[in-house]
Amino acid sequence: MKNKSINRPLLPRIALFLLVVTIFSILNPLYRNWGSVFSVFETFAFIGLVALGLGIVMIAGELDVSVGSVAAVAGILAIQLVRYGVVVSVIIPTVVALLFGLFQGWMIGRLRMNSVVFTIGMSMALRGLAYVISGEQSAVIPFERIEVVDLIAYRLGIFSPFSIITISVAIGLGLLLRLSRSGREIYAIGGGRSEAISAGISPIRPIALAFAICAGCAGLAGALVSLKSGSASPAAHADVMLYAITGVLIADFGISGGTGTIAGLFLGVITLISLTTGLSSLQIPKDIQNFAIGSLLVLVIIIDLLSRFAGFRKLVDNARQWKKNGQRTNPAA
Amino acid sequence: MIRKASLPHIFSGSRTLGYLISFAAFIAIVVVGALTAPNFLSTFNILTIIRAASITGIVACGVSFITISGNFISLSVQQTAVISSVSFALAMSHGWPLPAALLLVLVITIAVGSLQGLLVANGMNPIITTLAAGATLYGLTSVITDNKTIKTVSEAGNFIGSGALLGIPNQTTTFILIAILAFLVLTRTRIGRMVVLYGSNKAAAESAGLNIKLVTMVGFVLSTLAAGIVGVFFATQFGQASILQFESLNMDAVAAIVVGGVSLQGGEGTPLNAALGAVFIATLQNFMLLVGLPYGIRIMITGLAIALAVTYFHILNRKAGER
Repeated sequence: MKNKSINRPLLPRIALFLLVVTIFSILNPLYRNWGSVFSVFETFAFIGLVALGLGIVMIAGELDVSVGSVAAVAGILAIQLVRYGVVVSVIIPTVVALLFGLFQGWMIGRLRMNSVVFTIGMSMALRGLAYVISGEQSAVIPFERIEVVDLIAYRLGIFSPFSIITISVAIGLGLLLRLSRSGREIYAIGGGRSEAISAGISPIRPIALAFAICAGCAGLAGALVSLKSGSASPAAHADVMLYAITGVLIADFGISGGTGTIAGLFLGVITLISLTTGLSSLQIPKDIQNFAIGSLLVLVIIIDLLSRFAGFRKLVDNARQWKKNGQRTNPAA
Repeated sequence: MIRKASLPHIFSGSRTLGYLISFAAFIAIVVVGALTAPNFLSTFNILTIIRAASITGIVACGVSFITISGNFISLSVQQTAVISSVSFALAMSHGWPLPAALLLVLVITIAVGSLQGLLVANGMNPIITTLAAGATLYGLTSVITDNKTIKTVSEAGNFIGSGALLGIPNQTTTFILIAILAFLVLTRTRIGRMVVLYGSNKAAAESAGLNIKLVTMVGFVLSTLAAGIVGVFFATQFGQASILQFESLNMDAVAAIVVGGVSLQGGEGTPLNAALGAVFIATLQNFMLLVGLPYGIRIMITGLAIALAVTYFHILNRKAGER
């Protein structure tokens, strides 16, 4: 596999990000203050964390539809466990989600079956579980533990404990992908599955790991966001996957897997959130925002398609050049 | 030549056992239902089950063409159905005649389907494409309706939505007709055979000179057409349309296709499988409702059934492939 393809250039995405921020700063003076940077990071803390996990699954060439339901179940568990302390109520849902992801990934890797439909089924099952464990109503944090809400949302400059956790997880996962053998295996299995398997990489381990990380991130995000808001609904987070996927695709992850970096993903998600925050700062209604996100995703897909055609043309040109050179050298030989 | 080709793989060798086991599972639900839930096997309840299956079933028949042609599934039929329903209701409430309103739905669904088909035919991932299309359509619908419910009551519309011939509701009749028609199109026409060949072996289809872009487009257009039909039925049955309807149609259609045993690798199964899958799920849900299971447990069991079915048919296919 070409190393170049993993490191897609960051520059166009930095430019896109700056463009979005500049446009909204000009349109709305309220947009350019530390308060809105803080609110961008607060939104990023949740959506970014889900997108991180989803990004890793997409690097492995798969898709996990169940992230929203995992976050919903973890959110309800976190509220129910909060009486045992904030650490327990964050760690246990995350570990449960991680184990679930490990099982899901193991099934998909072991049987080599399609991840989308299997995770659709599991997503429905988990959504049902969320309704069952919550007794079909929203779970609310008990009044005597209300200080947890302030703790998670405590403002430290432009950060909160929530966004610091997300950024630490991002750095950790970035290092894991870059430096560890497991990270390399995830890229390899996504880039060319049959080549990776014939090179001796287990077809199960990287996929199980990617799904475990994905569900773990979604679980952590769901637990933290419900502790932050003090309540959790079993119907929550149904559309988080759409936001996360849009962020991941703006980050210029190849749709077919094997490419993408955590830095790029960070930029992609931040760009998306700056866009939605900017739109709400102009008091544009939520449904037009959703329309804008959908259109943006279509745009990203068309650009990806065109760039693929461009790449294909380059390949054809190279082949022609090579053929020409070959013809030139042949008579000499 | 093509017309003489043997019946589709539904009747062939090693998969037969698989279908027998699925059929046994269905019979088991019916028997348990008959023993535990009162009125489960009454004519009224059976009609209720098939009517409940018809919305999902019609869409699943359409989407099965996408699946059989090897392009996986669509995650935008729900939003297509919603926008069709809303456009129909808007047109009718502005005094358009019924044929004009139906024509509008036809144009919208063909446009939406061929656009997605075009993207996928040019190498885009169908999941991401349909997800994006769904989000755009959903946003568009909420903008044009301003998130309000649109009322439409008319005599002609009333007949489409609530009418019945020989005591069988129109939706049910349409569902059965569409399932049979789709089965015949897939197995007895040139384009149908092209869909099966493309799904079972892309390389062979390409080297045989099939118009593969056309095949992909056909799958997507048929599925959005089915979504349009369902949208019109809903708007006319309830005399209103809003963005909130069909909340789980995408998942239900996928569930029907998977549980019916249409292979996600493409090339295996027929629209009839998808239709039977829809009936299977409707029966299961009806039974769970009659014995009074809470909502959470019901969707949990449905979800597990999908995961189980996809695993089961996947293993079955692999065994069939190894032989």
